[in-house]
Amino acid sequence: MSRAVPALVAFGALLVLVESVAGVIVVVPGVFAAGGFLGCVAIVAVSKALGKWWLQRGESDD
Amino acid sequence: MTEPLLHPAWACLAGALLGAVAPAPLRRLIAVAAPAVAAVLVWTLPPGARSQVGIYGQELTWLRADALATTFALVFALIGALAGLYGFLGSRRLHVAGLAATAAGLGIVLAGDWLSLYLWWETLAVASFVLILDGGSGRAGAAGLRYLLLHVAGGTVLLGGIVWHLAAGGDRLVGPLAASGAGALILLAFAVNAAIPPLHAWLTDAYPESSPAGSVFLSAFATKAAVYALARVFAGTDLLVPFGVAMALYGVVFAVLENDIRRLLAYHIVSQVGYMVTGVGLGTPMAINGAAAHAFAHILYKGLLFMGAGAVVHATGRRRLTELGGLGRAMPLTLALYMIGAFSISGAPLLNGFVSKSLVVAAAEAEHRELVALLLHLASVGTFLHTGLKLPYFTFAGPDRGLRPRPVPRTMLAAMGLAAALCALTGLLPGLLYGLLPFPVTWSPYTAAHVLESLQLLTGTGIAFLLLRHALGGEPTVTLDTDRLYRAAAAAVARRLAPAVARGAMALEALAGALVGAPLEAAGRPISTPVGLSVLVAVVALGLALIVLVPGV
Repeated sequence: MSRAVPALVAFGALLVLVESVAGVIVVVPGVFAAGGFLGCVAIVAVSKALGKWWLQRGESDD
Repeated sequence: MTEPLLHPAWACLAGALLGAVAPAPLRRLIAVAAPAVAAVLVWTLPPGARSQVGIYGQELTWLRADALATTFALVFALIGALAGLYGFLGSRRLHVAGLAATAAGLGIVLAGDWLSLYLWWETLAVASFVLILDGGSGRAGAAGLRYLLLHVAGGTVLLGGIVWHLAAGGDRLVGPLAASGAGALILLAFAVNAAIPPLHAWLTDAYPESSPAGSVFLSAFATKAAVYALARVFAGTDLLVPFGVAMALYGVVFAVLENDIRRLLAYHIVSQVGYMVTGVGLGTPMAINGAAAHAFAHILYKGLLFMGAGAVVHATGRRRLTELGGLGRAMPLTLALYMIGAFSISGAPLLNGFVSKSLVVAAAEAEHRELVALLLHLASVGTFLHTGLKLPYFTFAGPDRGLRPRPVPRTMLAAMGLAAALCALTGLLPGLLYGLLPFPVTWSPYTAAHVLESLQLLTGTGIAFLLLRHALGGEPTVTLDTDRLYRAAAAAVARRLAPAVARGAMALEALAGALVGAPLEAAGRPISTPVGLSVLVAVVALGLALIVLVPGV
């Protein structure tokens, strides 16, 4: 949990940054391909971290 | 216009009643034909049609057919017929409950007044409970019971909100409400059925436990009926926007961790319904169109995806990614049809997800909600990652587990083929879908920029999957979700209350024995106290129902 708080703060800051420049970056060629790639990496990284630290249990655990 | 009309739900209810007693061959035909007849009845309803009936002094508007209602009703009837065909060889329980669920879905979206909506709402809860039981396992029974308890609780909250609303002099017709007072209760009940986190865990708990065809029925009705109700009553409630976006992302995050193929798809129901809830929250005509169009498209492609996963479960008896792999050669047609659903849900051009999802995103952009649009794009990336790449790769490609799947029945494949055809038809000709929507659509999805944008997203996601696929294989784990909280709390409360409940039950039994058992015993007919208690409870429940439902009693 201690590592989750700064990660969430950083994610929030990133969202604010993206919100402020969203209108600019969409005109860059290939930005959606890069977005797909980075979005995929981000989703996997966040999910795996949450699973490892918090959400996943062995099938035989209660 | 108020006139006597044949309610499309009656076709399915009559089918359910006939199916309960008909021999198997006739029952199977009814399971397909009754929803098909309902679809024709929906299609032929005059625009703006209404029909009313008086019962015990109450005037019920049991049918109100405007464009929003008929959009949902048409796709409910279509998926009812497709699921009936997919489960053609299924049990009597499946056919009867499937027809009852289809009738309830139609009843909810066509209901004009609050009481009619509530009655159909509870009918859907019970029919869905029976569909979950069709899984036939102990896990299905436990998940079904949890489903029923939660939905009866949600239904009770809905009834409380409706009674409050009517007692305060509110309109008896279902219409816009503020999200406060009675409206807050009604919104909470709708949120339960829409699976808005943290009230969503019943969905991912129950849907994977049903039979393959039962899951197809389940995937269609409860959440989308709730989306309809939200659109009808709470359109433009801005609170729904952050919840919708959170849903869209929540589902994809949990899907990364999921090992059960049908539970993975269930998490993506949460995610996709998030788009619809976001559209309802935005509330503009374009956004409401987007929510309705996405519900229509989602029911078809999600039904197709559950059919594909169900075919795998049927053929192999296995449901976990860690137990599956290498099925592509043995099940090429299942793979091909599944992939049409997978590309549809991912928003690939030429398929229906592309023309519906983009309406919601474009509506957010039109309202200058760039962050909302961006996060919905991110959720779309996650959707393709799991349903279009992870699940098919580790099921149909991936390591060969030496599985020898049994043949998939032709009726299953035929249903998948028809669902895939509808996904393609409404994707290639979006005017067919847009023509059903409540507001005129002036927006065109097939612009070069939009098509390229979608293809880029899919390509980038595909490249990332190729690099990360070794980290994405299933793991033999279970994932904790919010149900962990209330299941633990409920168990603790039950432990605390058990002694008091037991004492109360014994006192009731004694009372019941005195009231009911003694006269019968005096008449020479011994009766056990449990039976006496049951009679007493039934009488009390009936009395309460009469007091609540019948004015003047």
